[in-house]
Amino acid sequence: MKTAGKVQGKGSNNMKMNCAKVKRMLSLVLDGEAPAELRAAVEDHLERCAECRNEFQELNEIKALLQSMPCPEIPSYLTARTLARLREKESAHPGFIPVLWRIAAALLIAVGLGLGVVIGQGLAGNGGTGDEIATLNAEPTLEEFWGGGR
Amino acid sequence: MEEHNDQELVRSAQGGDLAAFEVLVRQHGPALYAFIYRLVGDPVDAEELTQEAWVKAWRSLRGFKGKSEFKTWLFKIGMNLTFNLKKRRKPTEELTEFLPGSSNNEPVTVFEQKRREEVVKAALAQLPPDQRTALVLNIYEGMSYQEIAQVMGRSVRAVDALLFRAKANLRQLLLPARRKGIV
Repeated sequence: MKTAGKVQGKGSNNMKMNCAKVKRMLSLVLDGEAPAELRAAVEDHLERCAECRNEFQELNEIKALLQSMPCPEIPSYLTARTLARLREKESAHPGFIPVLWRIAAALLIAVGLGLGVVIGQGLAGNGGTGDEIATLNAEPTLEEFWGGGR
Repeated sequence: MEEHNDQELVRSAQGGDLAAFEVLVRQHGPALYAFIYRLVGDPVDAEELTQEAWVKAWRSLRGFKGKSEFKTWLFKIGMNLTFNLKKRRKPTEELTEFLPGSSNNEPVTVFEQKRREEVVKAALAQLPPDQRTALVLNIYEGMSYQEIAQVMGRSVRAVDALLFRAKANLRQLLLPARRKGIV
């Protein structure tokens, strides 16, 4: 899972480093994060300095010790419990998607109601069905019409 | 189990597909638990925090923009929950979990191995939380300084400093046990 991201070194060609600087860089070198030039300078120093070499060795051993620790035992039921808890939470308090659905449903209902009101008002504004029927009822029957005409 | 692509699963889960999210739980659940366990040192707390982290991840998934890996984002949630738990507790409560115990008549090698583990756990527990977190991500998750910086919301230089101090502190903490040949 290593990616780029090395800490920039303060080195230069033929970098001479004192023990304090080298000791500060040991962790970087140990983790493979030191730039090549810095690493070379540290390694060069380690060849000549027993004290720094011992410290590097000690850090190496501590890292190996930590890595040798067993992986924690993962409870066999962990995944099942986690999934059950997720489903439970989801049904009790639906997450963001159901909320979106609810909003969408509310909007649809509002639009539907609004359309209903507009159509209703539109029909009422045209004189209304009742008036039209009343007018038709007021029309003379055929007999009246022809009778009156004869 | 077949490995699924995180990006595709996250996209599906962001669209409300709980089944896709469940695959993510199966794929990253053990690693998240191990990470949290190494921070808190207690299996019950680790389980609770792991479950809490997944619930929070599901609810916050819409905010995940994919700028980092899903695992990095998930571990950040786990780390924050762990730090919050530790803030609510007294320091003595968390340390008691790590103190070396008695032998229980176990075979010598098993006993020695357990004692070694307990000494290391006790030393790790005494590190400040941010140093411990950086170290756990570095040693056990194999993360680069860049990745640790993403999880912890720090700069790469800050991570370098944290790891330097963590190792220096561990050297001191383990010194008595190293002298006695326990570790």
